[in-house]
Amino acid sequence: MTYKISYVVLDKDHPGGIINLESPPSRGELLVIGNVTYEVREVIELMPPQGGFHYLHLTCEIVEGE
Amino acid sequence: MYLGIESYKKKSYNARRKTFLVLIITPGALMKTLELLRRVELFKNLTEKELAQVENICVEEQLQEGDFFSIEGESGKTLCIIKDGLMEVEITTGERMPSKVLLHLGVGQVLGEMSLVDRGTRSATARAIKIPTNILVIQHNNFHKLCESNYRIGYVVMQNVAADLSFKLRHRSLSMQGRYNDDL
Repeated sequence: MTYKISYVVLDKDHPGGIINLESPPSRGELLVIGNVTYEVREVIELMPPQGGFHYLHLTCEIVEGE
Repeated sequence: MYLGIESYKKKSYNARRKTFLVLIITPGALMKTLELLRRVELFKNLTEKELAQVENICVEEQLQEGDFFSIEGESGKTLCIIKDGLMEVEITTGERMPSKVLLHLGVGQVLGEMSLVDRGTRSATARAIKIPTNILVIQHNNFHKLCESNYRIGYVVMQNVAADLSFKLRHRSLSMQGRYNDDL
């Protein structure tokens, strides 16, 4: 299963992004993307899963970096 | 062992034990092309045989930090899939205005699909912001030839292109909502 993730960041200057993950992220988890560490603050399902893909939207906060 | 498509470290914090659980995820760069293609939404619902045909027209390239895949307004004749690393996508907002970063794209994401469909110029500038950023490049001409030789590939991939563009629009809408400035 692949998790296609849209993420936004609680920082007006950060554009957010889209990545694929192999496991579902959960609230409170830390994600390191590039040189930045984010804490996942919210996870919502954007669309129903289909064809081996889950579609999630995360709200993250920068913990370290950038 | 955790096998993943992307190259980012994933860490979980255990508050009770005050420790981090760090999952080391297999770098995308070490993945075989076919393995990556199976996990790219653009090729969702293709058979193994069809994926192998797509693999045959992929060329791997490595970008250094700051290297461009596309420049807004220029002719675009290739599509790329991010195998490992991170790309920044930006647009110019006017002649006298600085450019604006729209989003970051990571492993498994696709760039250049708009010009694949409409044969127009690049709609945005995309550059690597992490070393290494490895990409799989597909020439539009080769892709069109493949679709002409196998209509099912064309049908499935074009459906997936629409889904990918829809996902990007949803992301754009959500990122523009002010709700993310509020405390959760």
